[in-house]
Amino acid sequence: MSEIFKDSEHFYSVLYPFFLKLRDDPKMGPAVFGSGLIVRFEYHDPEAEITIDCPNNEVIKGETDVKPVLTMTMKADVAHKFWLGKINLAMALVKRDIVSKGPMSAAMKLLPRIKGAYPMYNDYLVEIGMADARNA
Amino acid sequence: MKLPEYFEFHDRTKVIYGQGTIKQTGEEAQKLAGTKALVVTDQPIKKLGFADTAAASLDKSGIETALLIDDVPQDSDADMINDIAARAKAAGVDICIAVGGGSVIDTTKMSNLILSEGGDLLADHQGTFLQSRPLGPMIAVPTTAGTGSEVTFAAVIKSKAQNMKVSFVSHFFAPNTAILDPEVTLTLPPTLTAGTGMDAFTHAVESLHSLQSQPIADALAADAVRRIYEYLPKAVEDGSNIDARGQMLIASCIAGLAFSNALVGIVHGIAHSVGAIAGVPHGLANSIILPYGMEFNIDFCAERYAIAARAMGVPPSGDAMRDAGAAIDKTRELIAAVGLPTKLSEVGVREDQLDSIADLTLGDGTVFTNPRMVCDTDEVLEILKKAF
Ligand SMILES: [Fe+2]
Repeated sequence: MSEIFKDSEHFYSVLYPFFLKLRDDPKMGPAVFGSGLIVRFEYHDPEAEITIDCPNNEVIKGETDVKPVLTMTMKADVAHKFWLGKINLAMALVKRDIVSKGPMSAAMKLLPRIKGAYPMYNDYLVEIGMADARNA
Repeated sequence: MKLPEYFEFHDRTKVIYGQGTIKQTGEEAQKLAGTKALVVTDQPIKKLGFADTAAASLDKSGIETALLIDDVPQDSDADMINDIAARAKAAGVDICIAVGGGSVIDTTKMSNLILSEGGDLLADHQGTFLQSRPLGPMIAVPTTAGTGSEVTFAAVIKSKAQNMKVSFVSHFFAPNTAILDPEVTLTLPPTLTAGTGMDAFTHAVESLHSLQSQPIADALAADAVRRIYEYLPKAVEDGSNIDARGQMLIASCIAGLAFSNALVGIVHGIAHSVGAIAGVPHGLANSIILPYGMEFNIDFCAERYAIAARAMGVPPSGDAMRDAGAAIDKTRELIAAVGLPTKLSEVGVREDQLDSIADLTLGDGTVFTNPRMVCDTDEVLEILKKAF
């Protein structure tokens, strides 16, 4: 059971707007979407799926036919902690908390760029009245 | 020294050491319930007769060599692996045996993956720790003392299409059994002995400086540094020194266990790229880059290099930076003692290749665990220019 998200709908209501915010941010948008990758995030506990289609500058909620270069699978709570910057990525991969499928070089292109989003997610949680969830 | 908040140490491989132990291959294969073997080797090892020795041992234990692959190149391509696996499947193979250096062992690991799980190597199996269950049994008999691939979780394969080396990682890729027989390394020529030995040394040093370093891997890495510093020059000077050969096989295996758990850093990242773009052998590339990589990192991990300094006989001065500097000096002494070149320009790398080497390095997974954060190509170029 997720400690943060009641159900898939709740998860989408938090994470989907965050991805849009990321895309439209003058600094983070070009950094992440400039990678030119198509990345699918598959979540479970609760189930959800978000695909970022960088070449088309789109964030897709739920299932889609768009074929990803990279698929990252994790529990919803792991995703939450990831965006908070609380995940040791190398260890999460070893423990299979995050399973990354696709070329490692693509993952490496993306991950260092994402780091700048951690403070954004922190602030965003406060904005949407989920300040307590920062202590997860 | 601060303990990591959390760590795991994995070791899946039974290790056997002793002169003539290659003749135990059959016995060990039998213990793993093998009946039909895939034996993988390369031309030089085939000519030396070691693949035949292993096959004869299998035969004695009633295990048929159903498929022999004896032409593995220096860098295996993914297509070749898909092909080997298909032929092994058709031949009813139920155990894989590698007799050779890192490339042969990695080729066997990945052939075993496709044989066990099916699919296409690049399309279906790229990722980190994707594999979630054991593969079929595998035995590795290393004929070089360097990669440690006989115990590691990784395999590096060339993707012709992407013109780069692709690494595959899973605890389940480690062979079930590693047979360390120093006799099969006796004929390794001095330059290869030196290059592969420096690969093992780099594994040990990079385990120490990795952001993923941990106490068990530290202990192993320090021991490997000590053995290599003492015995690599001896093995290079007199290839028939069985004691030095044995020490080096053990050291590279120990370093393999260390870095498989602690991971490596930018030295390997650059070595992978230099290998892919300029064709420089892996161990040689590591050896050239290592001291420059250590200088690049020194402000971020002096205490870690001090461990290496102590392992090379430097008494602690009480000043970690000074000890770390001594570790770099000792590393340069070792490289000089084994007679390897110290500049990229000496091994056929062209200046106009440095930019693309730097670019490729940034996409290498190893950069992520380097103690000093590396974000743009200029930082990699800084190392490359000094090492050029
Ligand atoms: Fe290596």
